[in-house]
Amino acid sequence: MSGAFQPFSTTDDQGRLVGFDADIATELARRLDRPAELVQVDWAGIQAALQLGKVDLICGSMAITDERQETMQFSLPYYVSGAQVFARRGTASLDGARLGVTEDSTYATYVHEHPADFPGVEILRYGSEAEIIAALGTDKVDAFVSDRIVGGFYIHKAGTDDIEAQGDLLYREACGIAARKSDTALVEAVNRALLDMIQDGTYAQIYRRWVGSPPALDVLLSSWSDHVGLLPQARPAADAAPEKAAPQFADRVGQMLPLLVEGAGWTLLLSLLTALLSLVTGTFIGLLSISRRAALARLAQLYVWLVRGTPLLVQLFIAYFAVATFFNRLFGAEVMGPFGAALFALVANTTAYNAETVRGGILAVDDGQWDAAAALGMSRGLTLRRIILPQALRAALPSFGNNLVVLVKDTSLVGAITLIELSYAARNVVFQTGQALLPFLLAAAFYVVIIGTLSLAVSRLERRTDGDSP
Amino acid sequence: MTGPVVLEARGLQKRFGDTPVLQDFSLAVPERQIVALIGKSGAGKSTALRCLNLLERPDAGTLLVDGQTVPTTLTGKALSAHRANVGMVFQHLHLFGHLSALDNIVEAPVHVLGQPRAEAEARARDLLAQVGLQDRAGARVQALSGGQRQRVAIARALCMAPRVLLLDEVTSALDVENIADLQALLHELSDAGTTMVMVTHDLAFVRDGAHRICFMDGGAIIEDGPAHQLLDAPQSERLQAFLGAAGR
Repeated sequence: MSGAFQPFSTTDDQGRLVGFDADIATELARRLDRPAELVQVDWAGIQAALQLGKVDLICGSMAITDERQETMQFSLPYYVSGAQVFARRGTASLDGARLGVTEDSTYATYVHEHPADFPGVEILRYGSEAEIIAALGTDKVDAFVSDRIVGGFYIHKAGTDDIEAQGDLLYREACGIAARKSDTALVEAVNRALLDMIQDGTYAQIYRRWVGSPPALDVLLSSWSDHVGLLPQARPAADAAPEKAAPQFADRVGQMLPLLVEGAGWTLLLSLLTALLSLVTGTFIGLLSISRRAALARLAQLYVWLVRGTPLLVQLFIAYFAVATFFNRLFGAEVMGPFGAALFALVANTTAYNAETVRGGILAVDDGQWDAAAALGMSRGLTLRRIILPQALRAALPSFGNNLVVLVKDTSLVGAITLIELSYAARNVVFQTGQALLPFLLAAAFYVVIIGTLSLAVSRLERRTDGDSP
Repeated sequence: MTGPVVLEARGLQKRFGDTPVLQDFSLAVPERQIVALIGKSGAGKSTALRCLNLLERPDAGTLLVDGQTVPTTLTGKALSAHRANVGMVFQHLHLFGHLSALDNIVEAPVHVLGQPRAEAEARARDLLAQVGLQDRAGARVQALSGGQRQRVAIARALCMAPRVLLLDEVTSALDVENIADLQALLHELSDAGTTMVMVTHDLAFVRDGAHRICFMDGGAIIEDGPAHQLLDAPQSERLQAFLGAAGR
């Protein structure tokens, strides 16, 4: 479970997973005579965790869909809820609204597949309901779709009571416990245990504790009749399977490529823009940090210290939720979107590292160069510009190259603020296809090509500026 | 040597922290003369040289160029102008590593004096020809031999057309053949009107390389005379001891 879907799964003040899903899972394990080992997995990686054997069951409020059933096997529904639009009170139409959904949710799929019901809507994907509420509070989104129970819970918790459910349920959905396709016996056992829990009243007890009202058992049980297909059956012999697998490989790669290429484009664009901008700002801060004006130097050093002392992910969230919000409110328009915020955070971050590189490069230049220039009547500024910096930057080239490689890899974090770069695109492909490994291998190949090309360019430049050494 | 005095220091004093390095250093150098400062390490030779172009600021004393007092507290353009007037060649040369031989020379005339580049380059080529490097103008300084680099350093100092040239341990990195060439070059420059003050440990070089020798000890000049006379007939005990120790 994700631990980010209250009241179904969350963590207590000691970091333990608690909630409806957690109690159901613990109870199931007890009845299946297995140790209950609850694992918190980010929603984005939860299917991969199952496929790769990191977990055996997903008891994480996962709605049963045809698509998911292609790669996983579901138990009978263990609760029934529905998708609901939430927006500010008095919202007449969603036309032109920015709509938040959790990535890889049935809500995201539904909105995507029903464009007619959501005209002019821009869809933004977030990692969890909590981030959507934060985005709503900072004007990043106007409305969101989530589970009826969960959405109401978060709104109440955040105290944003001017947000309310809009209209009827978009659709009803049933959540099941997911297992790997090969674990048929496990799913059978889970179904039996679920039925037991319902019959002896444990289920109702758990439901009431977390949701606050008694479960509509008639709705739940009647949903079972819609899902008789979930009951394990004698499967046809797998004679057709191997034949299908082989020719599919090239197709599968071909299917994944468009999304990955688009993601790689964002990665490359962000990397190059950041590299260029931070070269200028980094040199500037680096020069300030060795300035003879002590106050300026200390200010520059403080900047470097602060930026290097905080993780990039935190800087991204600050850029997105604070800096971008500030500017957007200041200008009354969205002047700084996810891309702007990502660029801001990456430039601010890389600037600090480049500033240190520049400072180191300048200190590495022989003091005699200053003497020689002074003896020729050159001023300090002229000496810095014409004599010291060219040699310092040349000496710093390998270190700049290193910063560039780190930067390209760091862009993989900007998915956290809804920008779908290469790594995020690979995760999306994993969700779509249920293939856990291939998209990441392809993404790795893209990274190798991007970083390899950039490294090559830097070492070319190093050799070019080496001049005609004997 | 009886030309007008070009460079004069009167009673220069310099301390580094609590350590007195120069105490009452006085020297007057007539036009075209080559003066060598000799003495033990720590006698204050290099500091004296660096005070003459104000790379170090004397704590007290007076500096005159062509009879005009040069305030030792100069800054900005006036300081630039003084340094352009008093060129310097460093022991470790300190050539600009990212530039060609020619660009090392034209850098200051173009960016400090504001000379047109073509004019500065023409003069730089003349200087390179004068030091025998006319065909290495485009070479990066790393590609040059030790002797060639030294000539570039001298040409670079000369490009500002200084009245005085300061030379710090210029023979330390040269082999015998190059030393002979350097000696000839310095005399050519002297004949052409350049006044020079050098600091060196190389007594064989100054015997014919300099016109006049000043022996320094304890931060001041204690013996001063024509090169041969001072080396062959030292008067003070300290100079005698120094020459004895320096080797027969």
